[in-house]
Amino acid sequence: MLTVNKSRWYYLSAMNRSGILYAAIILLLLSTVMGAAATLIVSSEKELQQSVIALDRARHQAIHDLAEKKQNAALGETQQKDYEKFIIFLTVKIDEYCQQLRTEAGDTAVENLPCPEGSQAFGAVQAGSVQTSEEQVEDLERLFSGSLEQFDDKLLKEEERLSARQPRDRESGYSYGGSQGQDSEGGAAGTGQASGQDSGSSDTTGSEGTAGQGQEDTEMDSTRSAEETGASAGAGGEKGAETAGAGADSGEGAGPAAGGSGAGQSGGSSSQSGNVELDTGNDDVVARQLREAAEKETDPELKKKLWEEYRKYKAGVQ
Amino acid sequence: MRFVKILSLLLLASVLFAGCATVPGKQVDDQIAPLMASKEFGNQELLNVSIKVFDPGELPEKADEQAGLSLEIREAEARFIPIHLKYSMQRTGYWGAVRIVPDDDIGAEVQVGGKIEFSDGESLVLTVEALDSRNVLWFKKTYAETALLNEHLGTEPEKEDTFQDLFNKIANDLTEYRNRLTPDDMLEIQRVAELRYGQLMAPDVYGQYLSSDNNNRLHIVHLPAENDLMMERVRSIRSRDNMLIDTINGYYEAYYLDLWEPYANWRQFRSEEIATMREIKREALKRKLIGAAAIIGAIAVGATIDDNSAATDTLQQVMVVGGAYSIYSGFQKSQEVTINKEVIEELGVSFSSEAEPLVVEVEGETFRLTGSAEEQYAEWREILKQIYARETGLVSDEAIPDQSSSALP
Repeated sequence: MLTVNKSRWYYLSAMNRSGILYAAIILLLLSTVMGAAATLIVSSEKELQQSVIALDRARHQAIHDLAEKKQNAALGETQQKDYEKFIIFLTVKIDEYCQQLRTEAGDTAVENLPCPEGSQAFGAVQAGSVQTSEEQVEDLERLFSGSLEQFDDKLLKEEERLSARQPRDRESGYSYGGSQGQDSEGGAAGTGQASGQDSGSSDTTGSEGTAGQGQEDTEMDSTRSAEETGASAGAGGEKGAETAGAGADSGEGAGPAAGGSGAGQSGGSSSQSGNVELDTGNDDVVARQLREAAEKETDPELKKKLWEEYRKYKAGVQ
Repeated sequence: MRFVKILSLLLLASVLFAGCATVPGKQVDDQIAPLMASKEFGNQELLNVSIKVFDPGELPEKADEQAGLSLEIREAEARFIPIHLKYSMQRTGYWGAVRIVPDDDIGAEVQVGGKIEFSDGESLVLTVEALDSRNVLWFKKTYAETALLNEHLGTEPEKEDTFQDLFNKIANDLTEYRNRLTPDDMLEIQRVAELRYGQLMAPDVYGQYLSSDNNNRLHIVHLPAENDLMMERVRSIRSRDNMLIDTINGYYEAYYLDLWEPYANWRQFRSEEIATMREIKREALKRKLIGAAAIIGAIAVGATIDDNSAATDTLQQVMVVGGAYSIYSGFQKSQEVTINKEVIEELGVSFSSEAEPLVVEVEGETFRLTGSAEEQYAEWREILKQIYARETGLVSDEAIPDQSSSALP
């Protein structure tokens, strides 16, 4: 009897040990997969962020190129429209990715990214539930008001950006004659300093003047059309709201790019990313601009992202 | 003798008029005072003005006149000049908001545009055109001013420019036209401007509120109701549009202040060099003409005096030699101009290099702001369209006309 029980104990123990072993293996596999999934999620978020940065760089470069070419009168009407179309495409794409990031990873995922402030696509208002016309109008009104407020915030940020703008240091290269407050004997540095100081104070006056003038102008406007609704109130603050400026780009994104127009430095590299042979013969204007931006980008990560966007765009078009 | 008298007169005229600049257009008077409002106007009497960035025009065709000028300088001036005109107009007190716009402004009550016909630092010639929201042309005139050297002194940003007489004249012409408008005219202009903007943002709603006659003059067909909600929304958008333009103007004003000093210096120093060149040329010409006169005189002496005395011969020889030397001296003097020309070229290159990045920056900021705002405006147009469709139960299948590029700044 005893022998039989012992055998059974040994048999059960062996079963338990195997079961435990199998369970451990399964758990290990599961944790690996989940870890990979988490990594994938994090990678996906990081890739989206990198895509946003790459597209924003390309956008700033395109804006700079367009402004420069317009200034040199080196741009036909068609080319100008091409540039504008490309810039709008990039802006829409950035907005799309930002929305995706917000949805998947929350607002923290778009911090430090050149994302427009959270805006709800108006189409979403119509999705889902059945609403009466009045309810739909109310929703649209709310969307409209919210959109106005966001625009006011952007204007305010632009105003702050403008106020923070430093006047140019000018080296007055004119070393002779002059009665414009020039130091005729001074070297460039000395003259530049004087210029900087003068222009600093001028700029302060200018900014105040601008703010004051803008306030005066807007006061005239809002007094005359007394029906105008809540522009300055919505924006908060008096001067800033009334003379604030717009911009889909955030101040952070726009500033460095604008200040250093070489932010999107054209490295002149024309190597293609990846081993896939790209059919560039039938590129439309947006594809061509994307390809050129990718070719010019010097940062390898951003370059890769731009090539990805190019391939995605081509795939979408086809 | 008669011959000698004629020759003397010709010589005098040549010397006096040698090197005078030929600037197109009628010169404005000197010391033009701006017309200033003697009272404060109510908002119904204040028209807002949009001044478009000027057309830079073309450079002079002659190489001499083109020296030291460049398209970069013209582009810089094409922004600087309207900004200073804005300041000149604002001070008069006759206007509401005066704003610089990069392009046509559909919602403008009064739009002023211009072209630089000639500008070389010493002279400025502008063609200026003004029309109101009804498409009524106020005037189109050409203004010219050649500044004296002392007018380059005592200038002050926003207040006193070298060509302040010209700016005051333009401002005064605008004021004089404005003063001829009746209160009904002003109200009509303001309403038409608002309706034009309404048509831009909500064409389904306001498309039929204005009509146009054979002269393209706009007339109001009907007005929106006092409590028109859609017009309230349009006004909300319009006020933001104005704020956006104010921000753009902030960049223009910063640009103006950054450009002021190098531009004032360029104009002054270039004028001084031109004046010096002119003087040198005049002196050189004088010497040549004196020399020629002496030689001709020697011939005349020989012809008129029958006496073959040594004194007469000597006189003739002296006159010929002296005349020849004077002519030679005149040519030598002409060579000095080369130095001034080089200086003028250098001034131009230096100023161009300073002005160009400022223009690129302000244009970049303008485009950034307007480009991103266009998306917002497109979204608002769509929202208004949706609201209108639901409020009225009408759904329009027509696509919204693409007015963004022509209407928005």
